[in-house]
Amino acid sequence: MKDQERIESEVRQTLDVLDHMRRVEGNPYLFTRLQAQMANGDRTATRQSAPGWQLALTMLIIVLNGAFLFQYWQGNRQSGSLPQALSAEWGLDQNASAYFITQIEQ
Amino acid sequence: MVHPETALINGLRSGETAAYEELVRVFQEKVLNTSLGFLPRMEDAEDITQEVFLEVFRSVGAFKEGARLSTWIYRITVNKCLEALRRRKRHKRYAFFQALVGLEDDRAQALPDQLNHPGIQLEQQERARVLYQAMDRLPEKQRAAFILHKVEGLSHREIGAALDINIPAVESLVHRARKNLQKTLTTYYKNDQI
Repeated sequence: MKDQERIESEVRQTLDVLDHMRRVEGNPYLFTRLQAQMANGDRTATRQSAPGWQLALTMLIIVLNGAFLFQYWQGNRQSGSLPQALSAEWGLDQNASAYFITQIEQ
Repeated sequence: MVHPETALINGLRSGETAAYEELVRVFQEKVLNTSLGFLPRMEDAEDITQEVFLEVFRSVGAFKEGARLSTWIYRITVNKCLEALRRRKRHKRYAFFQALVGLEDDRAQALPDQLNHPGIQLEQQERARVLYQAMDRLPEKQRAAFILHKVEGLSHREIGAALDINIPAVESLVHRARKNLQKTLTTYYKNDQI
């Protein structure tokens, strides 16, 4: 019973902490700080509002990647299959190239 | 005769430096003490106060005619404080994860649960720490209503306007917040842990 009373008293005292809190005074230099931050923020905004070169660079990278992939795909199409590529490289008959490839694969 | 608040709003809208200065002078203490009610560290509360006024300066054009300036500023303050609390909780979770995988995180270490509230007397610091820990467990709206009521002494009508809810809802939030705090604190004083 005593323990229950002690707990209730502790809870009450803890909840009362907010009632006994002293008001804290503000910083007299806050307005000056805010003015500086606003000025700084405007400069940052000006810097951030000109992302033109960033966008252009991103577009350039995308275009270069696209061009590279297209060239790679075209090259693959032109070189055709492996026997064709080997025949072209070594001046062999295509059937002979196909035979060698089969032998190697086995 | 123009109402002083209307004159202040007109001054803010036309970008008068004197109006901005007046706004800071009138509301700084309210914003700072409300912030301290949510985040009991002077450094955090000062950061929030700055953020609130910057937001007010930037969005004064969006301030609704007929609304009260104090209501609007309290609303911004509550939102900024709740955002900061959510950030702190995210960092704590991140720190926990980092600890699990054996990595250190400087940002999370810089977020201790220390109390640095100049308005709390030294002998009340331990109780205040326990109370803030208990308030950390309250749902956001209950916490906001409770702080505006207890710290700022706002009426239920004013709290309702700031939180955009009706008066019975405010009464219910404050009542439930108190009940929940009593329950958490009772458990704490029984077992010495929250």
